[in-house]
Amino acid sequence: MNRALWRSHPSRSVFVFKWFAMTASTSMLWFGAVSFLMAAGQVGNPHVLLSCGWLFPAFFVAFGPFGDRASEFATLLPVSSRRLWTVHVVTVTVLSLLLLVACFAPLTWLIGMLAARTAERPEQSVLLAAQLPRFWSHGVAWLLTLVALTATQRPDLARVPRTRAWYGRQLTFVLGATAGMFGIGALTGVSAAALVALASLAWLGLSWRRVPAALALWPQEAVAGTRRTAAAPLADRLAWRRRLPLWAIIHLGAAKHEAMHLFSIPFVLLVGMWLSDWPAVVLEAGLVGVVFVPITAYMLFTMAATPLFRLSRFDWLPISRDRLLVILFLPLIVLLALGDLSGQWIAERQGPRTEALVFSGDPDTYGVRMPAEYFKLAWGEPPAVTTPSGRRIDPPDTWRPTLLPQVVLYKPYHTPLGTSLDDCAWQLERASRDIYGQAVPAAVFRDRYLTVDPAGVVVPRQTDGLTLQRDLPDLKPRRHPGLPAVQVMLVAFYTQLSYLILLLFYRPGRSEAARKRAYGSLLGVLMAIHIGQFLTSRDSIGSIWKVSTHGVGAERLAVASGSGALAPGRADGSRRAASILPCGKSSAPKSGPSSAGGRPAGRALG
Amino acid sequence: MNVLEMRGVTRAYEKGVNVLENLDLSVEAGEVIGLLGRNGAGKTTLLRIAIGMLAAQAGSVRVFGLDPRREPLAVKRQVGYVSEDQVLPGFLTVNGVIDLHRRLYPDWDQDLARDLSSRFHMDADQKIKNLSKGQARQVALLCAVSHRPPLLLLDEPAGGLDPAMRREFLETAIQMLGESGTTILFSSHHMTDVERLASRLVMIHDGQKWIDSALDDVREGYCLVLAPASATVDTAAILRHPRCLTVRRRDDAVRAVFELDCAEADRVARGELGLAGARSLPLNLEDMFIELVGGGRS
Repeated sequence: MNRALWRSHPSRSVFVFKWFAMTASTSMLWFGAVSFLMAAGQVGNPHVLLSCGWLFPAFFVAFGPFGDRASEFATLLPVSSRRLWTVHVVTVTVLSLLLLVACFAPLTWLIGMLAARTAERPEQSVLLAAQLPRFWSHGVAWLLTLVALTATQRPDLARVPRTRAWYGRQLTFVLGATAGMFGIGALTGVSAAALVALASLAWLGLSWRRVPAALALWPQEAVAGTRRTAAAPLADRLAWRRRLPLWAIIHLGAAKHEAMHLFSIPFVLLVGMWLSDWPAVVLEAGLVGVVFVPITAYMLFTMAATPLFRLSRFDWLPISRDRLLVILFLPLIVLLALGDLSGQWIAERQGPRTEALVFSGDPDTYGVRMPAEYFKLAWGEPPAVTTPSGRRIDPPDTWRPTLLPQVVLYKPYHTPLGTSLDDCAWQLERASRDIYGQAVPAAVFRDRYLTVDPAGVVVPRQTDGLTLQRDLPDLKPRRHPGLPAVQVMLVAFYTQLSYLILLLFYRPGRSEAARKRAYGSLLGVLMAIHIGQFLTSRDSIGSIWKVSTHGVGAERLAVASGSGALAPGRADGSRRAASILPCGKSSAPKSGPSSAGGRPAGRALG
Repeated sequence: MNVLEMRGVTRAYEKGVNVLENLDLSVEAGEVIGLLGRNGAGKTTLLRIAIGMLAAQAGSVRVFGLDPRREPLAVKRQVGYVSEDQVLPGFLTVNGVIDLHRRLYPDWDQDLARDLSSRFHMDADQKIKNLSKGQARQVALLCAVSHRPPLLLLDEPAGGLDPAMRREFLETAIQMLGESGTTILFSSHHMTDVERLASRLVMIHDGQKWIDSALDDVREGYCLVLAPASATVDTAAILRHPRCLTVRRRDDAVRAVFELDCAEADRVARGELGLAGARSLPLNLEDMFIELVGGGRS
C-alpha cells in the first residue's frame, strides 16, 4: 500500500519532466559558466560552478511541486496522517536527492575534464578535485535541511497554500541553506555535513510528532480575503490589464505562468544577443556559441511550443488559428531580433577585447593560433604551402565531417615545432592579412614580436605574446558575417523542424497524450544532440573547443554549400569560394615564392 | 445516537466570508437526505467537514459519536465518500484501486464489489486514466460502498453524467444502500433526483440552513403567492409576516413564498396582507429553490 501511496504522490506526476528540464538547464549553465571562465582566462572558479549546480535543486525543492503532501484521494482513505506525511517526506527526499545527483554529476564529470585540461596548472585540478567530497556531502546535507524546513511547515495540511508569506519564508529557507552550503560548507568538511544532515533528520523526526491525526485540505484559520473586502484595491492594481491590447491579453493568456512569461523577456533578449556577433567579439567565445546551438533551440522550442498546449483556451474566440499563431510567436521573434541587434550594436561599440592572432610558444599548443572562423575548407587534402625559404608545410586536418570525408577544415597558417623564425613571420603575415584585411609585414613579427630561444625554438619575444591590436589600434579583426547568420539559421532549423513535427500531432484524431509524448521526445532529441557533443569527446575539456571548431567547420560548410562552391570538380570552385569565405582569398600566398605543390593538393575552398 | 451531528458549525476560507455560519444538522440512522444549495452555498464544505478533510472553525462535529478530526481512521472506515471532482490515481488499474481499498477496509464485501463490477461492466485491467468520466465515477462509487458503510456522503455524485448513467448511478448508490439501512447525505443540483430519492431535504443558502424538512412536508407546506405589483403593495410588510420566507417583484407581479399550504396562504394574502387579486400556487421543488434563492430572506 505504501507503494501505491508513493506512486500517487502529487509530486511524482510532474517531477520527471521537470527533472529533465532542470538537468538540462543546469548542464547548460555549467557549460556556459565554464566557457565564460575559460574565455576570461580563469579555468575553474569552484564557487561559480558549485552555485550553478546547487541553486536549481534548492529552488526546486523550495518552490516546486513538493508543497502538495497528499492527494485528495489519499486524504479520504483510512490511512493515518503520519503515514501519509512520512510517505511524503520520503518521496520528496528521494526525488530531491535524484535531482541533486542529476545536477551534480555533470559537474563532477566537468571537474574531471578540467583536471585533465589544466595539467599545466595542477594546483587548480587538485583544488577542484578536493572540493568534490565536501561539495557532495554538503549538497546532500543542506538539501535535506531544505526538505526538512519545507516539509515541517504547517504539518496539519495536505497542501500548503502559496501565500505571499509562504513565498517569503521559502526564499529565506533557500538563502539560509545556500549560505550554509557555501559558508559552513566552505569552512568545514564531510563530518560537519553529516552533522547538518543528522540535525535535519532529527528535526523531521520531531516534526513527525506534531502531525495531527488528520490532514486538512485547507488551513483551519481564514486568510485575509480578496473576494469582497479587497475587491476594489485589487481591481485598481490590475487596471493596467484593461488597457492591454487584445493581442497582448491573448499572448499572456497562453503562457503557463504569466509572471514567469514576463520574466522570460530578458532571457529571450539574451538568447538573441548570444546568437549575434556579441559573444564572439566581446567575450572572444565565438566558438562556444556553436556548441550551444542545440540547447538554444531546445529552450526556444520549449518557449514556442508551450502555448500550443493552450490554444484551446482561445477556441471560443472569433480569431483564426493563423492569427493566433502570429500573436503567439511574433513577439518572440521580435524579441530575438531585438536581442540580436543589441548584440551587434554592443559588439560594434566595444570591439574585440583580446588578440585575434596569437603565437604560442607552449609545446602543446605551439604555433600561430586564431579563432577557427579564420580556418579554411578544402576538398580532398589541405593544400600544402611552401614558405619563402623553400620549406614545405602540410597543415593537418582540423576537422573532417564523418558524412562528407572529402571536405576538410584546416588552419592554413600552420607552423609546426621547428619552423624557422622567417617562416613563422611569413605565416603570421599571411594570417594577419586574412584576419585584419591588411598584412602586417613579416619583418614586424620577426623583429618585434618573435625571438628564438636557446633551444632554437621560435617563441614570442614578450611574455604577453603578440600584441598587434594593442600596438596598432587601427587593426580590427574582420568578422565573418555569415557565421552568426548560419548560427541563427541552425537554431531556427532545429526549432522549426521540431515545431513542424509537433504540429503533425495537432491533426484531428491525435490525442493530447500523443502530443505530450511527441513534445517530450523532441525535447529529448535536442538534449541528446546537445549532450552528445560532449559525450563524443571524452578525452579532455579541450574537446569542447574541438566540438566548437567542428561546429564552425559545419557552419562554413553550410555557407559554402549554399553558394555552390562545394561542388567537386568545378573548375572555378576556388574563385567562387574565395568570394564567400571570410578571408576573401585563397590559401595560396600572394607574396610568397611558391604556392601549393608537392602532394596532390585538394581544391582550396578558402 | 445520531449518525451525524453538527452543532454551530462555522467555516470561512477568507476572513469575513463565512461559507457555513452557525449551522446545525442532525442525521439519524437510515435517513436519505438531499442537500440543496446554489454553487458556493457550502454543500461541499459541509460534507468535507463531516468526513474530516476540513476542520470547522467553530462548533462541534460528531460522526457516530466520534470527532472526525481526532479519530479520522475510525470515522473513515464507517463512511463512504464520492465527489464530482474526486480523482482516483490514474496509474492504477480498476482492480488495483479495488484491491487497495479492500486492504484498507476490514468490512470489505468482496461479493458486493464483484456484483457492482459486473453491473457496471467494468474492465478490471483497464487503467483509471483510460476510463471515461462516468466509468471512473462508477469505480469511485464501488470503492465507496463495498465496505457497506453505515454513512454514505455523496457530493454531486452524478454531476456531469448523462441521464442514463446518472439514473443507474443513483439507483445503485442510493436506492440499493438506502433500502439496506445505510444513511445517505447527498448534494445535488438535480431536483428530480432529490424528489425521487430523498426522504428529507436540507437547503443551505448564504452559509445557513434555510429548509430542513421531510420531503412530503416541503411539497405540502410551502406555497407561492402571486399578486399584481401595484404601487400600494408594500413588500417589506409582506416579508414581515412570520410565515413568509421570501418576496420579490418580477414581471409586474409580487411573488412571495409562504410556509403554509395554499388555502391558508390564500387567506393570509387576501385577508391579513390585503393583496387584492392574489392567487396561490403549489410549488414544486425546483420552483421553490428558484424562488427562495432568488428572493430576500425573511
